[in-house]
Amino acid sequence: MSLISIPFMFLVLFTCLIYYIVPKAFRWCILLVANIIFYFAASHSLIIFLIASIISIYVGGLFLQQQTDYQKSKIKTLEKEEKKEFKNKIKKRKKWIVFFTLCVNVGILLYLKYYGFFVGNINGLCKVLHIDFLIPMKKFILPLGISYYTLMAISYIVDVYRGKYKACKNLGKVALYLSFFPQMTEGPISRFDQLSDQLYDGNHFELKNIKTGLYLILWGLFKKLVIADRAALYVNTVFGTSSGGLTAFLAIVLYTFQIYAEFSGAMDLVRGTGYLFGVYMEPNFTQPFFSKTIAEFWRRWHRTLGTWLKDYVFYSVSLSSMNMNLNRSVKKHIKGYFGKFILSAFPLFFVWFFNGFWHGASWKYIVYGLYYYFIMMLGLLLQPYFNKLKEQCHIHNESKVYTIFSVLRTTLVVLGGMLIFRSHSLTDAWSMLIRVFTVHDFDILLHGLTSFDFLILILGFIMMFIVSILKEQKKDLYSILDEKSLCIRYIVILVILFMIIVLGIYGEGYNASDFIYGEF
Amino acid sequence: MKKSITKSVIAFLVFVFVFIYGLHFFSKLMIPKDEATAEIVSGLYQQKKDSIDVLVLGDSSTYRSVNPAILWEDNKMTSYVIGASSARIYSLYYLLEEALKTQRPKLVVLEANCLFNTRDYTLGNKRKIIDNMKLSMNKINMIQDNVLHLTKKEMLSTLFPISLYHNRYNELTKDDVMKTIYGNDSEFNGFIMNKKVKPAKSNPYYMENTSKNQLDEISKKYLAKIENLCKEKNIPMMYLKVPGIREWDKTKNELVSAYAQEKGIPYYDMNFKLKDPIDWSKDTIDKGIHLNADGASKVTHELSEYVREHYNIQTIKSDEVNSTFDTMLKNYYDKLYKE
Amino acid sequence: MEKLIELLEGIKSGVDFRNEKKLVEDGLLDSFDIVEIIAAIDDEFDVEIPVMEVQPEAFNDVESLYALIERLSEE
Repeated sequence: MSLISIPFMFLVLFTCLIYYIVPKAFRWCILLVANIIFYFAASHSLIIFLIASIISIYVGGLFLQQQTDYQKSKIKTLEKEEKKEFKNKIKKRKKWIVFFTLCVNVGILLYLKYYGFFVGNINGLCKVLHIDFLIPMKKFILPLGISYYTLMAISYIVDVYRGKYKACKNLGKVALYLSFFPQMTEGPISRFDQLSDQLYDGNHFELKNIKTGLYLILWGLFKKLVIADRAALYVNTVFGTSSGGLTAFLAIVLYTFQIYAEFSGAMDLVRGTGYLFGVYMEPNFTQPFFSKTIAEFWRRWHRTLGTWLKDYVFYSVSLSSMNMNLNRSVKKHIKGYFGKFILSAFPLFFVWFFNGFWHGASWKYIVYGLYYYFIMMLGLLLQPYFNKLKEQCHIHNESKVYTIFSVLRTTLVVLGGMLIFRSHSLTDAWSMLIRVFTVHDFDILLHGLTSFDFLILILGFIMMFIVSILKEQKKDLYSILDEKSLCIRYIVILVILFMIIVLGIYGEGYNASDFIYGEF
Repeated sequence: MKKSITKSVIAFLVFVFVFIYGLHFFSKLMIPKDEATAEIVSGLYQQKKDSIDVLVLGDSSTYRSVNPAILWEDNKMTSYVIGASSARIYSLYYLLEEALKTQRPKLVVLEANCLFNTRDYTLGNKRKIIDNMKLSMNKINMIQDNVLHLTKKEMLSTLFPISLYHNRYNELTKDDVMKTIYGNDSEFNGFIMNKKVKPAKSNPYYMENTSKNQLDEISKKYLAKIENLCKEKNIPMMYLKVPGIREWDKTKNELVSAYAQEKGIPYYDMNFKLKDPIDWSKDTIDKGIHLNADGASKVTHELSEYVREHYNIQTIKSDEVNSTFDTMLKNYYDKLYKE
Repeated sequence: MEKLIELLEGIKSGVDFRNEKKLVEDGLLDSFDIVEIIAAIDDEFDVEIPVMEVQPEAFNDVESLYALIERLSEE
């Protein structure tokens, strides 16, 4: 069931109606039923994997809590010398509980999503080494959202381990959290303490939430159907061919625009749906193309993935005793900046490796992640030199020129990343890049878009840009709209609605005329 | 408090109204208009009430063979050719229902070719008719009629044609805008004029051929519906077959002839003897499938004489109708003699 | 406490550690800074701050951070 489909619309509509009719205490049941219906319709029997994840973190959490409570009660009765040993014993037990829970969750994910990758590489290696060993290839259908809910499951069990909050005794509440239907398709990756109460406690009907939700859904539909899918027409026609020059460069730019409009549009749809139930979900995008550095970009793009990686990979690795020891020994031998650099460089490698690998089960995606790692490392290493350069040229970080330069620089780097992401393979990406500079090709109107289509894209860009500027200035869009007269609000809604209906890329395909005239 | 609630309710209703009207407007804008069937179906609504004497129903053979301008020239009779490409008898039934809402013709002529259109009835051909009909109980009956084989999704799509045609935004022309505002219509009341010549292969004995054709139950069912409709409204009916070297044969003629006789309805098959016979090397646009303007001229003169001899249709027309048809005739000859 | 402020200023210049109350919330300290600070605290105060304790609240102002260090050194 796609986010943009009639069945989904009906599911949301009916669930919403029933939700607010039913007494507050039972509203969470309605959501859970909706989750089950949605998931079953989308993935059928694969729901069993989702259930496995839910049960594993629920049980794991309870065991962890049991240990924590046991420690609390027993520790008072011990002598000082025994305390440390006891603490370590409990810690070890907890680590095993987390380990097993992670095995279940990460194990399922690795098996279903990465089986092909691992087996393909092993088989390839055997071939190269002339070892007669072949593992049969299998292709699995992935349960919907497994990449997202697995991360959410991991965050829950690790948070309980770290004592951030107590384990939840209510299986329904844990189930609700992991299976909340709007987030199953594309996230966001929510945290238990941020989401679960909102889902379980039930929310009052508030007109403001419904309005905000509907505005978001409308805006999301616009971005996806009018902008993203239109850009896709061009992108899909150019990528994979031997085009070059302006045609190819424009394809990379439009793909970046497409992905941003599509993903942020999907997030608007998801969050808007959440609002209809009075549920606030973390935004995944906060104007990423205003970023001045790559580090900043990844704090603004797919935020929930970034924060997840920060909390569960970066800190886990960087604050581990291994990294601290490494840091100490490096500092002894290498003074100054480089020493500090290593402290972050080591954990960052893992962050970017996982970022890339999470996106897809192939070397291309790993390189995609490491591309950003490399850029960041370069930036970090050269930072003292750049600072000196800036001082000498009297360039201030706050100056307009430097800001524009940084934003453009960041955008260019991102374009490079998108080229890798969209290309069929790394070699394709590289050839395309070369062709951008070596081929003369300005025929941008020959690839599925008319000049009118380009006009719409430009208009869409301007609209998104204005909205982004307002958001960047922390202006609450909905309040602005609400302040205007009812007339203006309705006009804005009608214009966007009709742009979606008339100019949206949906339906029988672009040869409606052929389809009608084709037969005579 | 009460005031602001009523205000919001009214505002919301206005919003809904504007939205529905906008959908309707854009649907009209996006529907392909430069097409024979679309023009013919749309043009029906442009006719002045009770102004049509003769209604001719049929498929593309008909709308390329019968010329209302000539019927006017010969008999001072007004007519409209309700034709649709690849038409089936049931489509024509619903179109007749539609026409009879505003017209009281003195004669309904049903061209028999549609009875043997058995090849796949494409969605496109169905939509050409449906999308140009105004929303009414008749249209809803038509969409829901099983014989049309529309899926639920297709039925829904006919209620929101914008969903199918919105992709035409790149092809819109000034013509589209004008026709949205003023309505689409057929220049010659259903006659589609073409002066091309593409000779047909000679086949002088085509009316001696036989074939395995049958008049099936569905055809009989809808023929009966049309006959009953005409009977109810006291409108005389006749069956016609225009010359068709590629589409007609002895078997088909016999089937229709027998049926017509059984029902007591006159049947005139022009494939046997025309005063001014069709020259299949000069009178067809596509090797005999359809006639061109010259062929249509011959057919219509013949039809005019037949109608004059067998039916007493004399009505006084208003000045407006007179002027409309005079202009139509003039335009026809202008077009005919233009290089 | 002074030692802590000195340490912080050594890692990140231009931030008013004495008065700022929203170091993490306002983005004055990012995750790299936090890791550096923790490493430095480990060196200077000989206190290991485990991942579990890395909460935004503890790092939002010097007082909370100092309290954290004190608590951990006692355990």
